[in-house]
Amino acid sequence: MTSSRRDFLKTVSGAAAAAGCAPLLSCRARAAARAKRAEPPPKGSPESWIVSTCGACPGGCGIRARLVAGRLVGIAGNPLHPVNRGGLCPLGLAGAHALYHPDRVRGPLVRSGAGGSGELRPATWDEALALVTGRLRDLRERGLSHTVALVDGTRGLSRQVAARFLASYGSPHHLGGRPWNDLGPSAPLRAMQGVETAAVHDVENAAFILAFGSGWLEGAASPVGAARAYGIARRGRRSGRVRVVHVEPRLSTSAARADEWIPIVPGTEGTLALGLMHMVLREGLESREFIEEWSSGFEPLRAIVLRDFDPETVSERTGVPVATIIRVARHFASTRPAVAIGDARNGPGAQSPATAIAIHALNAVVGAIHARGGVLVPPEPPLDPLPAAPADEVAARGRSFPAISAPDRAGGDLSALQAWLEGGGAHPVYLLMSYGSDPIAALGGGERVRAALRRVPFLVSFASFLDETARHADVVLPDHVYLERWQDDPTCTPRGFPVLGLRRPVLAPRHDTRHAAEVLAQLARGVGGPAGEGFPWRDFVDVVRLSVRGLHRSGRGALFDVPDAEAWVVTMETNGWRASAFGSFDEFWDGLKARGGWWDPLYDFGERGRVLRTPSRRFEFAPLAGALEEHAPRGKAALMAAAAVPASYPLRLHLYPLLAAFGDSQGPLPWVQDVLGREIGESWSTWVELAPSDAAALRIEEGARVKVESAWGSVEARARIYPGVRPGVAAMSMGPGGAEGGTCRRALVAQAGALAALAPGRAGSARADTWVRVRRA
Amino acid sequence: MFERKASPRWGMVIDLDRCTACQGCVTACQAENNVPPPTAEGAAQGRSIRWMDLVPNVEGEYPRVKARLLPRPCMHCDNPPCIKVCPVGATTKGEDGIVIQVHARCIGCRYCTNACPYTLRYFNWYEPAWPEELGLALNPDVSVRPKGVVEKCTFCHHRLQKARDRARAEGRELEAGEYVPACAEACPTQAIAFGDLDDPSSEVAALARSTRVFRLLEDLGTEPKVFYLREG
Amino acid sequence: MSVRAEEQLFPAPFDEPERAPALAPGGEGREPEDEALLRPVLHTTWRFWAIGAVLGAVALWGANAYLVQFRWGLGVTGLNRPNYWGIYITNFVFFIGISHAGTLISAILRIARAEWRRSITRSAEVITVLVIFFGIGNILIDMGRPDRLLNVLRHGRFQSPLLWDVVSVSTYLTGSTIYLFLPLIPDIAILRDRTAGIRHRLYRLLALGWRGTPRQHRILEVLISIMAVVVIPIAVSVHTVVSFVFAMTIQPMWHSAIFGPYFVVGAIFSGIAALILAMAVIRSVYGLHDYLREIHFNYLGVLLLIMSLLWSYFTFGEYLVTFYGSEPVHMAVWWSKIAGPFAPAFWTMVACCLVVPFVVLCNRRTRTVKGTVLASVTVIIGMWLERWTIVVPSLSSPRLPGAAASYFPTWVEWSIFAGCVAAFTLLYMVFTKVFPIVSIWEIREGREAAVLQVVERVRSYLPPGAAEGRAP
Repeated sequence: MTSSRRDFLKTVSGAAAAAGCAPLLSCRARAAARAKRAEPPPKGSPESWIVSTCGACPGGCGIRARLVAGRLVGIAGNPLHPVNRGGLCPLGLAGAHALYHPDRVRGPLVRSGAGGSGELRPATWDEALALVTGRLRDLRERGLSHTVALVDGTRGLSRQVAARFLASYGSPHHLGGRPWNDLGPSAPLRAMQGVETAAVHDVENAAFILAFGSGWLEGAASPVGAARAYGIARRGRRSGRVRVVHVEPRLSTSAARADEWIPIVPGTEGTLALGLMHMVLREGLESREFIEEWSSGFEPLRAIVLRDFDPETVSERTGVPVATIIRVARHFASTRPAVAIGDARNGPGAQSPATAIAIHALNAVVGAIHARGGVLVPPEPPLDPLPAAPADEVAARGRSFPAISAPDRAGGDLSALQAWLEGGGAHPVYLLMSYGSDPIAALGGGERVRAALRRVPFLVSFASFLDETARHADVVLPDHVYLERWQDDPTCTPRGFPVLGLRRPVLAPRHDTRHAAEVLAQLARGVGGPAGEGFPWRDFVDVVRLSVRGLHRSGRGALFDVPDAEAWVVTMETNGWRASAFGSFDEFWDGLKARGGWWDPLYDFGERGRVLRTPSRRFEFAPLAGALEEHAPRGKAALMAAAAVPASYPLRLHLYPLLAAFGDSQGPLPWVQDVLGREIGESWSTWVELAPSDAAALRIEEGARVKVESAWGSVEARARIYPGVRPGVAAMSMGPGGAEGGTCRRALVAQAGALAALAPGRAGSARADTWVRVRRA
Repeated sequence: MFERKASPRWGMVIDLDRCTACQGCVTACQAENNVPPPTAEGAAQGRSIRWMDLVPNVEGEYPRVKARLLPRPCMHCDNPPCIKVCPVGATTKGEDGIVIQVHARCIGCRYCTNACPYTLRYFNWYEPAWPEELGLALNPDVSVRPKGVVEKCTFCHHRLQKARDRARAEGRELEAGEYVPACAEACPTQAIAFGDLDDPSSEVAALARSTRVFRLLEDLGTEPKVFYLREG
Repeated sequence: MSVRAEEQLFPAPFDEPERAPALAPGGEGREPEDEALLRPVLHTTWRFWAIGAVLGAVALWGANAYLVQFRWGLGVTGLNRPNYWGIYITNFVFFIGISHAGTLISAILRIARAEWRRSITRSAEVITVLVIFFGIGNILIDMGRPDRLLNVLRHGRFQSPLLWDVVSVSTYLTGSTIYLFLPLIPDIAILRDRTAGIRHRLYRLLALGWRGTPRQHRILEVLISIMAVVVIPIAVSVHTVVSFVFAMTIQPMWHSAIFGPYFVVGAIFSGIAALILAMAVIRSVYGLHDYLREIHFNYLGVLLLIMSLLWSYFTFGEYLVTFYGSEPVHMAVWWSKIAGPFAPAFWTMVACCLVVPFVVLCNRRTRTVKGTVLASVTVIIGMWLERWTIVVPSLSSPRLPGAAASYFPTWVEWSIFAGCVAAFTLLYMVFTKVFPIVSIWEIREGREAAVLQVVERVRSYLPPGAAEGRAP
């Protein structure tokens, strides 16, 4: 399909205008002067492979980096790594582009122009560190340590180091830094099982998968891990092929891969889950064993569900035909094991907590909790904790101030920060550090966000790339990219096995950058007091070594090995043998480096205590029943009830994840940009998908430039007419968006963030209820 | 010295039931084969080079819409339309069945690109360029193409050469699984199987006998050596 | 070339007295008539230089555009995947098509002894020879690696239709050049005797010792006849293999068995149109109304009408067959032409190649010089569009989805196109300044001999006896 009508009359005008186009040439000449023809290293150069862990996304895949003549010339998956077993996604495979990216920050930068002007000049580390240390020390001495905040997108030990810094320094403000990619503890597990972790779904062993919401494959916490499990469930196991039903307003890649796609009104997935539960209960297909022996508080829920969520009502609300509801409910409840999957992520781009809880309850009703082929709670790897952070009175006083964001406010941290800065806060923020996060872009990057961040007099960024926040920073202390640093990467496989991947430098740092965790320690030492004492380690490797001693001591699990070795480990462990082959700690450490990490391929379905930590030690249905009762006065099936269509914003926004859009604060990598939205033929752009009928009504042509506006902001995009979008819905890829400019230029999906939801005061899900209008730009 | 009974017939089987359309194969291929980094302008003009590409095909009307996303390398046809039309013999089929492009001989007439019914041949519109240091990541096993020539998927032929050299140096036959293209290696779901179609014991030969098998534009008689296994 | 060599080519027998040169300077009564044909060669006005300068500037601009493309690569064009071919290949087919104006038409008319051909053959043949260069040139322009042109000879594979083109077009160029040159010889001899200095030496060399003896005439007539016969199959083959470049692929709406004759018909069609246009310009610029008369335009107009209908018949057949075949990939291309992005070009083509020529030419009253010129201009435009709608749409709708992109030429491509047209026109103008654009000796021969021959011939058509029997 051609994007624009090639009206032949254009020929004439084109020819006439031809002479005027000559300047094009000079552009090309400039581009060519900058980009050079390159040659690979000569054949026969010394070659080596280094095993490490990918850091392009939180997935934690194992990689092998190929080095020739001191150059990183290729990245392949680590076949021993249990998460990816040699497979890799575009983000990981494009790693070399992150390392050699022309837009990297090459050394510390210090603001040279007025505040917020974005003018930065290179500086030495001594100068830049002195500047930040001076500020920190000054604030602490004046008793204002609580006015320092740290936005943190990292996890594992890096996050612990940051927390430690704040604890000793005296600030309560440790904020989550990835609103669009929050893989922290999931709301249903917290509410119904009392567990502070993210759930995983045992796709590999499921016979029936009912996926709700957005793409569970491309939007998975570990996309490669999820894909691998999917491949096994489809064709890689003896127990037959899994059946997949996908519920989403848009025919996403996951929906396209499913056996059945059920288009639904955005944000009503929870209602459908309850409608399905209604049918399961009505037909008596629920798991009595689970309900009676494992759970509590089911009867009130049963009453509400049977009363309010009959198929007719649910059908009306969700747009899913009654017959489909009945059929899917029967199929789901009568196939064992079956699992319902909601969004892997928390935060504004994901389903609302209430929806997630409804989906989780559906799993519980059929007994798919802590069961093979169901929802699993991965155990933590037995790492040694860091010693308690020293604190003094100043620190204790600083910690006693109210925090910007409560610890359980999943994903809402940044919008809370914006609200705080815009005047809602109890005290000002005088110094803000951003680590592994780009808060300005994540908040949508609009003028209002920038203005809010400008209220912080001193902004420090640890960005490796000049992202939106770094542009506005007073000091940039560039971190290494993941291929240059030591780091731990705790994760798990879809079967709930804990994994600890070891990330180590494949090359010496290319630029004058430093490990941000080490820089934090250095700042702490510079400030002095307990903060300085809290970091006795020489470098971050020492912290990692300290932590993984726990693995060695536990004797559990195994170093990564070929798949065949897994059975042996399982046999040994289930028989209670802990005859570890680890040897001395140094041998273990060398093994970690050579194999890429440690894992424990055992999930104990017997330990109920670990996965049910509610006061009753049972699975609690009460939170869902409570939420439904709360809505009950508003009538039948009012859960997540959509308000009437707002007159000025007639389309509902559906934000969906794209695998390629979830890179971790790297510059726009050309290869990744190129595969961005390949499924509908888009790359390097921001686009909005409209149903043919809506586009016709709005008189918007395929490929037209349009403005998408919500009550919160507006975004320019290219209109794509896509029959795989439910009428009444405008679909955009979600993601943090990012900086314009730079060598590899633009791109960037999803300033869709600007449209939705991160605006202050909006709790919960952006996806559930953001309304937009689309008009020609 | 090490005589084989017959030359292997390298082929690929892509199981669409496993594939999640993640495009790892696409990027793996670009990285392995020194494809110049794509640009926004190039992509907008339809000039991105993807030897392995994801071909989207959306059919039907809401709500009965079907989308099929096909990873598409070169088909390495047994009866390749591209070879017939090349005026200088710059594209040839080796005895192992792999259709290769001789970049040093190609005159850039682009007849082969038009003759290929799968549109999977690519052209170097400009001198390939790498912004600043990106060129450091070039793979030493693959030459960088000059401007004005056609290029295409080679089944990572250089990997075959390396594997063969290694086997020869060690005085043995090439073993199954020793030679695998970058796309198959990177696939997270192992949806891409690769091997000798003529070896009845190979995985690809077994998969190619599956009842789910189909090939692209089979009725054209090009005899592709890339097989697909349909979903379900 | 020495005189001795010239004599070998046209040996003058000793027993035959030499005849006087055909046109002596300042000769007898009838010569001043044909003097008009020599005037363009011998006298040049400022208008020639002015137009020449403009055309030269455009040609240079086109050359500059090509240098830009040569330096940066084909990226400066609007081409992309899947539109790997565009305006250059369109021009290649178009120019090669135009080249059928001359040699083929001239040869057919000669063999058919159409006496009205005498004043038009030369201008037709020149078109052929000159325009072939631009046809070949556009192929070279289209190449990604023109520096590797010799690979076609070093590694040429005859399996490729492109190589058939190379052979066929180069043979055609050689044949056409000889066919242009042979009838030029007597006229060159005339010029040889009318000029001095460097031009004289040039003409002397090219005249090959022509003295106009009956034996020389005989040899010339034989050679021309042979070439006329030889050149027809070559011309047919040229456009057939040009069509084969497309038809030998399995691309939708390229892979067609009628492409050979369809292209040949289209080529003759556009060729006649180009010839009419060239004649009209020559007639008006050089004041040759007496030589290029209404009747010539009338006859060529009838020919053009016939070709228009023949072309329409092929077009109709091609599109109807595709429509009834209803293969989806073919229909995608079909609809893109009928009602899609290529519809404006397609329907303009239909208007230009059928509607306008038919309306203008089927009526005797509008089949005037002006009428035929109007029809010719539209036919030339229409036939360029025909080439465009054959080359581009098939590529724009590839079989597999995901490769769709639109193509529109950039300023570089338009500039090169304009440069080609300008350079061709310029060369044609220059030719008229070096050689008589109307064959002088053939006109003269027509006056002296052909009228009687025709009478004789017509008589030979009729039953003998009746007329003769009544005569005494």
